[in-house]
Amino acid sequence: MRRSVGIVMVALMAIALTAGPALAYGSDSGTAYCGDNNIAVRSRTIKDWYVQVPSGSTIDNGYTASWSSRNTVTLQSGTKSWRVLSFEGDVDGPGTYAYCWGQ
Amino acid sequence: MKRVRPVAGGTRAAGPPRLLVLGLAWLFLLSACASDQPEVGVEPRGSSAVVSTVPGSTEPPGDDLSNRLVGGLTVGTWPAGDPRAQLTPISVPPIGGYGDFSQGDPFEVDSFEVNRLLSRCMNDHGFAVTLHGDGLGIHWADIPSEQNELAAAVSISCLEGLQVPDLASSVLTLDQYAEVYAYRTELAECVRGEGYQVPDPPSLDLFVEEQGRWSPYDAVGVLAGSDWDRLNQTCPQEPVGGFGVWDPGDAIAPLQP
Repeated sequence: MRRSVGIVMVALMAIALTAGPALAYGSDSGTAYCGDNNIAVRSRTIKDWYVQVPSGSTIDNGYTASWSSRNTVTLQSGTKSWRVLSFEGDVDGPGTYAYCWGQ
Repeated sequence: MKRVRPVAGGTRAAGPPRLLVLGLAWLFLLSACASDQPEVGVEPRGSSAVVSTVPGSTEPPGDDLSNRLVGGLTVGTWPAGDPRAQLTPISVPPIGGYGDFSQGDPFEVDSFEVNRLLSRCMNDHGFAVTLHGDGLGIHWADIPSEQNELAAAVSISCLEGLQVPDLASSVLTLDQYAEVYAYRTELAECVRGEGYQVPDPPSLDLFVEEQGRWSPYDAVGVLAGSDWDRLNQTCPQEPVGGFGVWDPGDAIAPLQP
C-alpha cells in the first residue's frame, strides 16, 4: 500500500515538474527617476503586451502582430519602477526602456 | 519552402528552480488532500464583481458593467506557476462575442482590428479605456486604481476570447520575412518623408537573423503624445488591414484615427 502511494506521488510530482503553462513569457523592467517630469516607457513587443508603471499597476496594453514599438507616457513623477510583460509573445530588451518626458 | 525559426529572445524571465517547483507541487498536493472544500476565488478590491465557482462565462457584448460583472463574469485565480499571475491574481474565463481570429493565418492578423475589438470589449465591461492614437494598444488612464487588477484580468480574457492564432509558435517563412522587410523599407521612406532621419535598412539576411526586429521607428527616438500619434497615423508600423492586404510595392496606407 505504502509503495503504491509512493509511486502515485512520484508520478504526480513528475507531472508537476513537466507540465507548465503553455504560454510564452517575456518581460523587461527597470526603475526611472524623473523628478517633476513624467515617465515614459518605450517598449518593443510582439503579440500581447502590458505596461506597468509602477510595476504593479497596469496602464497600457494591446496587441501587435509583428515587432512594433510604442510609447507609454504616465502622469507620474519621482522614482518609479516600470515593467513590460508579454504572455503569448515577447518583449525585446534592447528596444524597451524608460525615459523622462517633460511637462 | 525553407522555414525559419520563430521569434525568440528579449529578456525572458528565468523559470522557477526545480526544488521550488517540487516544493510547490508537494504543498499543492497536501492542500488538495487536506480539504475537500470547493475552490474559492478572490474578490477584487473595490469592484462589484462577485466570487463564483460556476465555470464558463461567454457573454455577448452590449450590457452594462453592473450586469456583466455581477451576473456574468466568473472570477477565479490562476493555476500555480501561471505567469499571468504576475499581472493580476484574478483570472476570468475567455470572453467571446467580439470576433474570432482562430481560422486566419497568424501572419495576416490585423493588429489594429484586434486592438479596436479589445478596446470595445473592455468598454463593454465598464472599463473606460481609450484606443491609442497609433492604433496598437489601449490606455487605461480612467480606470480607478482599485479596479486595476480586475481590469487586467478582463483584458487578458478579452484578448483570449478573440482567439488570435499563435504567431510565436508558428514560424515565418522567408517569403513572409521578405514581405515584412519590404514593408519596413517602405515605412522608412515614409518616416523620412515626415522629417525624421532614418538610416538605411539592414540587409534582408540580417533582418531575418534578428527575427524581424528592425524598424525605422528605432531611429525616431524619444517622441510621445500627438507627435507620436501623427507619425504613426501617417506611417503605420504595420499595414492597415494586416499583411493579408499589403503586397511589396504597395504604398503605405495611412491609419484613420
